[in-house]
Amino acid sequence: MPVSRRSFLAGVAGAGALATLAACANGGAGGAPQTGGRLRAAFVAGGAQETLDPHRLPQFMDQARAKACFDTLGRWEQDMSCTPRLAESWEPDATGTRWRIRLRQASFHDGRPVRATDVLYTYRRIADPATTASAAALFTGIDFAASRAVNDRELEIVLGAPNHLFPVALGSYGSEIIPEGTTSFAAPVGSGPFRFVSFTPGGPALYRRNDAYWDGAPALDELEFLPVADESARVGALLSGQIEYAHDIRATSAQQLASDSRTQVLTAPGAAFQFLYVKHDRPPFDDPRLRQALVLGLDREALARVALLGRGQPGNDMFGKGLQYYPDAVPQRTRDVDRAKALVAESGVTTVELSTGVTDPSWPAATQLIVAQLAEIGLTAQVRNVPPETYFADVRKNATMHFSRTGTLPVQNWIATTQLSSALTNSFSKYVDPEIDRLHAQALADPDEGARAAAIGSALTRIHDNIASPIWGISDWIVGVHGDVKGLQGFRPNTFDWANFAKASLG
Amino acid sequence: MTTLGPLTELAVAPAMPRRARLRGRTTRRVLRVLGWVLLAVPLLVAVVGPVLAPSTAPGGVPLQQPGPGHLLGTDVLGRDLLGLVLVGGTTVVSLTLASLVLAYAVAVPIGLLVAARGRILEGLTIGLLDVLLALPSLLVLMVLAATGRNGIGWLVLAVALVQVPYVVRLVRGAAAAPSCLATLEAMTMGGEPWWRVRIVETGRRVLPPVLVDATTRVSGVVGLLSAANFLGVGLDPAVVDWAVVVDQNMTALFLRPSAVLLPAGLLVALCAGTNLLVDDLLERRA
Amino acid sequence: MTARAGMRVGLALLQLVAVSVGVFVLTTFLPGDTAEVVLGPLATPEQIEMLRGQLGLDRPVWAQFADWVGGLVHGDLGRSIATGRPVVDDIGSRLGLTVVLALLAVVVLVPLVVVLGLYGGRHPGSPADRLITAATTVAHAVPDFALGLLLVALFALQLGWLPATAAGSVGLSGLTAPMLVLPVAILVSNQLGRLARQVRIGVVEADAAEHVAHLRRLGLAERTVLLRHVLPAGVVPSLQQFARTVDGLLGGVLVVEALFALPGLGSGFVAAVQTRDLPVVQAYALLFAATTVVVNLVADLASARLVPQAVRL
Repeated sequence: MPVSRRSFLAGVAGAGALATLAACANGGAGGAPQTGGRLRAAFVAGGAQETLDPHRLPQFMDQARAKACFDTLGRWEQDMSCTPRLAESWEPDATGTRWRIRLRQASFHDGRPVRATDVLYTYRRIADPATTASAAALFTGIDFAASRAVNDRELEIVLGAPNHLFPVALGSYGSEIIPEGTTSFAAPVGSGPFRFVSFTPGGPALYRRNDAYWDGAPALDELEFLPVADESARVGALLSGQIEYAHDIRATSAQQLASDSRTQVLTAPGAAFQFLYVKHDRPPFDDPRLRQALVLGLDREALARVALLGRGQPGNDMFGKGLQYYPDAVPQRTRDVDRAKALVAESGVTTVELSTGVTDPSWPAATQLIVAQLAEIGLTAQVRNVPPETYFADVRKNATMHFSRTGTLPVQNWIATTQLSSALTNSFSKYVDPEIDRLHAQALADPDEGARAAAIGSALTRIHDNIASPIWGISDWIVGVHGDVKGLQGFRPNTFDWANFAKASLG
Repeated sequence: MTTLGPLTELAVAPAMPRRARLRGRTTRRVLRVLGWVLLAVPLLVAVVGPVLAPSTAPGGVPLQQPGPGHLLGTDVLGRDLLGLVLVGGTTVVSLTLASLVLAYAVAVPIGLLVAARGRILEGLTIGLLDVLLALPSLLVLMVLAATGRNGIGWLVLAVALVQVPYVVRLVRGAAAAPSCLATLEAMTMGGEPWWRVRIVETGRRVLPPVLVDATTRVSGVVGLLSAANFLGVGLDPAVVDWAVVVDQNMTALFLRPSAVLLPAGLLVALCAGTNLLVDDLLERRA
Repeated sequence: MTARAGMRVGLALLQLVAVSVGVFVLTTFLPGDTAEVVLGPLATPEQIEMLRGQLGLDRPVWAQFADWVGGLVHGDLGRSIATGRPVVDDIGSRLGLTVVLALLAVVVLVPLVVVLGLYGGRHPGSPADRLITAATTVAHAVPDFALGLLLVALFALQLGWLPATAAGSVGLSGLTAPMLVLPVAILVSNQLGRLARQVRIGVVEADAAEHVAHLRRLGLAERTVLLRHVLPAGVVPSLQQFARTVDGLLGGVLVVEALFALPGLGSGFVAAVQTRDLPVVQAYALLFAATTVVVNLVADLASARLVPQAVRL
């Protein structure tokens, strides 16, 4: 996959992590991959309520399964730009409201061809609020009454407002194309590299190679997804040869797997953004001096070294480092204890509350460090532990300062879902800035790529300057695989290549 | 029932007939010394450790090898392992003590009252306690955690609560023992008020078995406290405590085994030492 | 006697009702609901509201509980809010696994407990007796998760004799015997100490009893005395403890289930609570409470059978 490799490297070059990547890449030059075999991949799973509906994907395991069975029109590269996939091409009109999409020749597992009407049916279903689809927000801008299938392989999508970044929606997770009329996903039919064989909710899901796959049949005979909730159990299963792929591995386990000859570690640098949100609309952080003191008081180097165990990098209070449209020129915030201490004293605040949890394994460690660091600038932090199942709903409502994390997403999508005034109910910081809305709208409306990059860059810079979403660190994403597995690399979660087994092989 | 596994045990006195006490005296002596050592080390560490301990502030280089600045190396949070080991015993020991004291403070009076006041109260109380037992303790812990009640006080309360029904039964049983009843009857005949006979005097008499029972419960309580941490419903992660340190370093078991094995070993020593000594003590008393 | 048995069953039913109400009251304290948990952190408030309506969560909690009780009266445990499937389906496969695990542990435990207890009880104070007691005491003090990880490291990762987890099994399907060796070993090591102790004490006491001495004086074979008279009497006092062990095993063994990726009742219950799936939580709680009642009843009946004068329904 020459295209993906190129943009992949381009994307991470900015993150300065080229060496790590090269070191953990595998496969490629060693001749044709061996075919056959069953690859067993273990993920954290959602339990008995899981379905195979590719449009409702609350968990990584759901995404991975959808990817095996279905296709998306576009693909998210490592820098979150979007390139055509099941679509052959897409073309906007001059206003960016009318998009002409041509489909590749491909067929569903039951032999029916993939047609324009299937695509329209899919997107209508995603946009329907009753579906509660994960990618709903990306498709609600479509005017379905005006959109139409031009012929079997070509369609025209009409948007309610100009959006030159609309194709990014086509590569999103949760935008998988389903055959027109599909209402049940008990035995899903897609056009992806693997056909569905069997599935037990809360248990394994088995897929078999789709020999008729338009991009070439996978090397694997079978692909099985296994739910293994406990991280040490995933590591144990991998080391003892019960599985070949263990998703989401801790830094300590990665060190163990790397030193073991039976296993290898795939690392995607800069993949998960670690936030320390503060609420702008209520005391104590409605005081800008206190916000400033907070970001100056954090020792980001120490946080990356200890909480991320060296498998990560300091954050710079902007989402999207290493991704398309990220303004690399903004200088890194560094610690300034004296200035922070003075600001805290000026604000008159002595005690703050910090909500934390175990949703991310780095949080407990980061909590302890941040409490100690805040003490050094004169703030006493009272820690509130929130259980994982209601963590995000709780902190959105009740916390004044709290941890959060986000996987890799296109920067403009992240802005749209968390930073716009219209997204206020879903916002963690309750930060309101009409200028961000304006810049975002401008980025979508402007046909010029350079102007668009500048607009998104300015929006991120404002977010940085106004401390709308403090980011203390960016963690690597770590996957453990068996020594025989070829054709996989460390990919950022949510990207097309992440948890994609179409090109994987055993030996 | 309890989804945390059977956490409570009955009071177990090692029956040692008179003739048996003469046997295996060397083994007994060895085990007694072992028991003292096992108990003394964690207790000593818990009491004296905090005074000697180096700082356990996080932020150093994690998982360092033992060396000059850090005699035992550092744990996953970059804290000095020696410091963690020295500081971490105080909370375990005091929480265990607090839970037990609370459990007995509640259960002994209930047990005595129940034993003193006839069958109806007895049936009612035992029935109520059975319902309490049948409530999944895990659900109780999860509700406490989900509603932000996961401080030290709540943990002690929850752990104590689990012990109460068993202790009530024990006290009731001991108070109803024939040897006890005979003396008390004589006192009642002598015109003493019922509460003096039934509560004060009986209380005095059931004290020895209750104390024995308490010591046998130590390992159950320590086990419950550490299990709570494993399930994420235990102590605040910032508390330096052997059980919490074990839980935090479990993921690095293979990289820095000492960060797990040292605190875990001290916990095991605490429980095992207590039990060995209780056995020995009982044999001497018998 | 029949009246007493009837009263006991009546009391047990009353207890189940009390447990159910207690669980309901407890769950009302839990923040959040199934819609929030199922949709995950990225869902919008509108989506959560939509799903809430679809799942019927917009109705008052007590009304949902009343519905569930109404169904229960007709023998229907209800449907899971999250999956829409009957609760019985969700619990069924987990129950099978938990029962098998508990049975295996018991099958290993009973002979071990009897042999160790009988030996210790017959030779109280001997070095072997003291060492057995000490060793099982220490084994009991080792936390499950530490023992589990050490056993996995040794037998699965180093020696490669046993699988490290039961990954890939659902309930009993896909489960192989080697997958259960380490879990059962941990459960046994945890319970062995106190059970063997109890049997040992029982045997010491029974062995010293007047009627046993009398039987010996009558010249009965030592074997017969031991197996027919000493052992049954010696086992009775430990039956309560044994009942509690079985009850605990049947309640799900959370730590072991997590370490070995075994989908049993313990992890199922936690998942149900975390998903705020109230009908499922209720079903689990009832199942656990019923297990307690039944196991204790069986223990009492067994006591009665082993030593007829101990009948106390």
